[in-house]
Amino acid sequence: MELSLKKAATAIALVGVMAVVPLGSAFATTAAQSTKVKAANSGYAKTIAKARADFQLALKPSRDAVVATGKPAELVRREKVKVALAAFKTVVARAKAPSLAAEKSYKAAILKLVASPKSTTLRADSKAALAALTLAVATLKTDQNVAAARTVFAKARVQAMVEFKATIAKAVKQRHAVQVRELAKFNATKTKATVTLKAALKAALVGSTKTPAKKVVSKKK
Amino acid sequence: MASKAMKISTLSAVGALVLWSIPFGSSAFATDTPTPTPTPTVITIPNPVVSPTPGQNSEDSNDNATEDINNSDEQAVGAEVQAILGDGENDSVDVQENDNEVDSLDNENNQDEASFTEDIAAANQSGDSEDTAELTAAAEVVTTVTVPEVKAMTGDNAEAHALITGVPAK
Repeated sequence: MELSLKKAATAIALVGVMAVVPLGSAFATTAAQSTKVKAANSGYAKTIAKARADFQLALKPSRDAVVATGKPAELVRREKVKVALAAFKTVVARAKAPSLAAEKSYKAAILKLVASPKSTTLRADSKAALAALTLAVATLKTDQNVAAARTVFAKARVQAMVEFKATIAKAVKQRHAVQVRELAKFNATKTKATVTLKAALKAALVGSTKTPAKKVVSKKK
Repeated sequence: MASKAMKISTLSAVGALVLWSIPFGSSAFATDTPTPTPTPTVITIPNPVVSPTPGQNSEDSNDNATEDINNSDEQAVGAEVQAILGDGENDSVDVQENDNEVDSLDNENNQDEASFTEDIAAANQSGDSEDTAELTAAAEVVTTVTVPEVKAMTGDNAEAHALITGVPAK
């Protein structure tokens, strides 16, 4: 009887060990895969970060050159526009004056009417003021002086922009050339890093794909 | 005694069977549910966004400098560079953004608009609500005289800024 008990205990212990071993190995495999994936991702991120830093460093001189030329040129452009605008605004102010005066007259008339709402005279005055305002506005709408001043200002504005662009053209073209060249470098590095990352991820995941493959085969049988 | 030994043997056999089946259970689950793997952190770079060039109007059509510099290729490259470098790089370029002249025109238009709004309120108070339509039309004319210039100047400023910084205007 003692022999039977010993045999039973040995069998239980043996089966228990057999049951635990596969579980432990599965965890070990997952951890190893995770480490490999993390390493692959980290490597990719470092490569891209370095490429980005190199890109920025290569671009900086040409970008700074445009800023150094462009900022004073922009101030000059705005100053020219400012002078031209002052002339335009003078013409506009002169043209708007009758409309604004009529608007004030109407406001005064309507406020008097508010004070005495039943006054037919005040009501007639407010209507006359409104008619004068409408006429003044119609004149403003088709004012030839404003139209001429607008054309002059537009030409001055465009001319100022042309001069601004001419001033910075060389520096802008230089920057553009550098950007195109460095962009190609960056994209090549990125493409290469992506291929490396995908290969590393594939290799890391090979272990996890073996088990499902066996399972599929056994199901077919 | 013999029956006791048989009971122990039966219990041992059942226990062994249960423990023996555990690996199959775990492997079955492992098969149906693949081991989770961290999502690859592939950094993606946004595609270039080509913004329309601001300040382009019929008056600029003869502007050769515009054609030379501010072409779509320049804008596309600028957008791509911006995507790589991020917004932070652009912040280091301190270009004057404010334009007092544009602000001045805007303020004048706003003041005229406010004046006409008072007229409309007074007309409504007096009972002459039919004046509202004419007053609104008058305000529209008076306050919009310089609006095309405001738009053009704002467009010019944005275009100049885009050229200096090398990225399309936002």
